[in-house]
Amino acid sequence: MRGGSLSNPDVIELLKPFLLASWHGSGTNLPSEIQALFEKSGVARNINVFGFALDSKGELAHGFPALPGGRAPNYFKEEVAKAVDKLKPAKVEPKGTALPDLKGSGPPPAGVRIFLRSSESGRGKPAPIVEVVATPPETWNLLAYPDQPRDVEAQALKAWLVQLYPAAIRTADQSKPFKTIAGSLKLQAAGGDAKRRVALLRGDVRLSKGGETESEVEGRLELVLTYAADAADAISARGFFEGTYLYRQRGELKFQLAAAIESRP
Amino acid sequence: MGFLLISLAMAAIVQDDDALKILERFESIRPAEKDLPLCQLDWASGLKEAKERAAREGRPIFLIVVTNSYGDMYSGHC
Repeated sequence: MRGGSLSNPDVIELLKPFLLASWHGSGTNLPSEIQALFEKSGVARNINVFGFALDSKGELAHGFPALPGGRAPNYFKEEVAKAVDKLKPAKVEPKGTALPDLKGSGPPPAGVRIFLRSSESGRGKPAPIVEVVATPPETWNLLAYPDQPRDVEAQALKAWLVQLYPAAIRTADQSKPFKTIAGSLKLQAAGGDAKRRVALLRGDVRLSKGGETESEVEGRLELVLTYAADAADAISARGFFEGTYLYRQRGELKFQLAAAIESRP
Repeated sequence: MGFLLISLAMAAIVQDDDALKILERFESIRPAEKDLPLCQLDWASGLKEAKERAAREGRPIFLIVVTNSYGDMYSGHC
């Protein structure tokens, strides 16, 4: 849905006046305010994704099952158009593209933004995932400028690495945390100029959720870090991870993962 | 465009071939704005925030409910 009907340019235009929100969870124990939307709308719960349009007071205006399920190709757009017709929202000033972000006044940076692409899952081309991960100074300290080459354990970057899994996997897999993070990364100087210095952080990492029957991700992380000529704190980081997510739920499926990682702000 | 300028600025101080290759790969993976249409929409962190802002700004809400997953439609891990 995220890479399909919801990203349709016409749908994007229709939804621009709205405030968007999503709720995810088990259908067997809905919060009362979500349950109330189903009851008021009368939408049948025979699928797992639904759209609800509410007015500015939070009152339901329109609800519908949000997966096409054999319906016409324009089904989702037509349902959103019905919501627009009922609510007649005022136009809003275009806000352009606003990516999830972090605030900070570093160095070091407040954290990183990770753009994650995965191979197709058989349910269409997935839209890129965008996650921001706050990163404390203690983690950046481990990436301080290396006067001599040194090793950094992949475990130190756990908060970043645990984001390396594809979308649209089963909740049973998604909610299971990585138990082990293995790998050693080499941090070494790589030149610079009179004002800035550069270092590279490179190595192979492997994250596992358990034994041979659980999912795991394996691949290579490579980052370019910059520093002031006279200070050890990292100013910025940019690089990538490329690898494979072995999805082990009712068999085994391989997802190719590619992530661009950039420090923020 | 912003990120490209930043990357170019970074590339200006990077002479190491390996570092340049990493930055090139970074840019080839990082999506362009056209690949991120959902980021053109105004997302709230959840229904509670959406209702508060809707009341304040006089705007409607579009809520997506997913009853078989955990995550976040905005970030995409869902």
